[in-house]
Amino acid sequence: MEDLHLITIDPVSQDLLRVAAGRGLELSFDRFQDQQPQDGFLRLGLACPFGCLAGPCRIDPFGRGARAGICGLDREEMVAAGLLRLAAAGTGAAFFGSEGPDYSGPAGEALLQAAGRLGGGAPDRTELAAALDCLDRPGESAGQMITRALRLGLLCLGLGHPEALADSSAGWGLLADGPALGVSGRISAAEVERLVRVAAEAGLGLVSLGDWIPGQTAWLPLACSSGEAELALVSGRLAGVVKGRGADPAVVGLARRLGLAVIGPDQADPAALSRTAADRNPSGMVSLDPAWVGRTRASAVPPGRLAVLAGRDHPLASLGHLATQAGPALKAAGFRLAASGDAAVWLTKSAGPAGGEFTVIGPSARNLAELAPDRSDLAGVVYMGFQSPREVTEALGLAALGQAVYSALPLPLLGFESRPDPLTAALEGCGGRLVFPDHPAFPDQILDFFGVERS
Amino acid sequence: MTRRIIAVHPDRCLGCKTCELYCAAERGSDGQTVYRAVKEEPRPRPRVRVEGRSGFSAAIQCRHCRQAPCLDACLTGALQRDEATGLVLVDEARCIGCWTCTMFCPYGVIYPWPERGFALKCDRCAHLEEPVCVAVCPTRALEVVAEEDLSLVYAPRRRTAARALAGALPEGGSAALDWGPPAENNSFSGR
Repeated sequence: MEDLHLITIDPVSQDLLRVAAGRGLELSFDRFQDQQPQDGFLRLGLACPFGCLAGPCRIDPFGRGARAGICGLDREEMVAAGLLRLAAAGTGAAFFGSEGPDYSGPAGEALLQAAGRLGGGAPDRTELAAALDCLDRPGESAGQMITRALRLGLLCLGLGHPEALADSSAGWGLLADGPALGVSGRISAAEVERLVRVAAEAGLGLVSLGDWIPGQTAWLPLACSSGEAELALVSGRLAGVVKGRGADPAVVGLARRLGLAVIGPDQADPAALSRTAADRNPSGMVSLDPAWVGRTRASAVPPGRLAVLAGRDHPLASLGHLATQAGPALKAAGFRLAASGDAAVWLTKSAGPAGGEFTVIGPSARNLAELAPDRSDLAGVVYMGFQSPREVTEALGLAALGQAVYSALPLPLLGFESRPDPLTAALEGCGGRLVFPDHPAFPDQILDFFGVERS
Repeated sequence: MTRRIIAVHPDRCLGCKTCELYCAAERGSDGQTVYRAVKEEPRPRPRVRVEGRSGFSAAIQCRHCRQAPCLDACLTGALQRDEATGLVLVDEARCIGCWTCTMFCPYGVIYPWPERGFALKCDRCAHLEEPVCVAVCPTRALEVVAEEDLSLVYAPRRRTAARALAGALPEGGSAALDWGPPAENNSFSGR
């Protein structure tokens, strides 16, 4: 337990980790350790997991074993096929609930121009179908597959909807005053409205467990980041969990194990929730202070050199470490700051009641695309970590749009043999770049990415 | 002296080659991580090799034989027995790259490494608490055991073989045998 600071920087979370260990509760951090080492071939992009059913195939990066897949995919092509598979999955997810790509406005125009640079018209649903057909038995060159992946990235951005700027609050203090109902995953605005009413009738608060969920006038308050969702359950301050889209199975499973109510966004029964809440005994787990809530006020994204911190928690890096270290350093270096995802949660948490001087721009990468077209002063976007193919696809799209994008975690692209690799070469033609280290990044490397001189 | 060796459970090996990948990256490269090793020249090489095919595979590495033919074959004395551990180790500075040892190894687990100019073989990660291949194996198909315990490691396998034989005996032929505990947990360390 002496290395808890390597898991999360938040002292409350560290206390909750101790509580979980004491109660014998297995959390994502334990499962992460059990998974080590994760498949090295996949981590390099040198595995083709059932691209076709002749596989799975792997290529030996050290040249002694297999040099090509059974179908003949070589090293470059296997990495490219893996990237295209991620992009196809991410784009498919982006189609859910979307009426189709929106290429209106300056952002839409910029997306179309970027698509033109890659060759072809406006990316649409047929682009996804063509990519999936290609992946059914990958037979194109690495360059062709990468172009497809980049165009899918643009399509993914086109499928998003910009969200209005809103106030936000985040922190464990939101759970200090009594039991609450926690929302895991994404729910619609109408469902938020209903759940607020239901929770109030049951005498409960309503908080998000890591997802940015638009409410009527503000983001639903976030008790924690997405990486801490299980810890929120351990706190004993939740009466139930609302299972939204994309909720981690572990959160739902742990809630059931702890005897919490697990309900769908449209299933809440105030009376039943009240009874469950009465059974809770929040005292004795950890001490929570209502003052431990950070806030930000909605404000327009300011002009000037803008640095964006985005992305989600990842167990390879101590939760909150990068955002809370790099954010203030970037501000001190004269950058304006905007944030989304878990990076925004951590910046909000650390801002305290006085509020932070940065803009929360919500989870949709379309918001980032909106910043991109007429903002030559957008210095770059840093993703602290990725949790889904959709997020990677959006990052690809931003790079294809001409932005400088940094992933603080290695991506499964290191298996490329040629230098520069085909993705870097393709992005050069777009005026963008997607860079990442060969190890989990340190805050200093993020400053280097933005060109901050360090003494 | 307790000699410790790497025991292999072929029944657990999936042929994933994770041991090869991490052995090459952590023991055969300067960067010592998979992400860095993949970019290095000369290319890192593993000291363990997975042989076999789907359905039957096993990771094979130097067995550090008690009567090691490679020791007799080495012309320069580069291969030496470490008396404290019983390991057969290569003194890279004395190896002249003649590859004679590779010809004498009965397991074929000493590899020429012309780019580096010396023979490559498993040293059981002598400086580490646990060999890399053992640490990374996702199915625990490799484990380190004391030589005198090797018999215990494979006892469940003998029982399984005996059961199979018993099935072939005439009716009632197995009734007098005590089969001992079931063979599900055939791990010495119980991991």
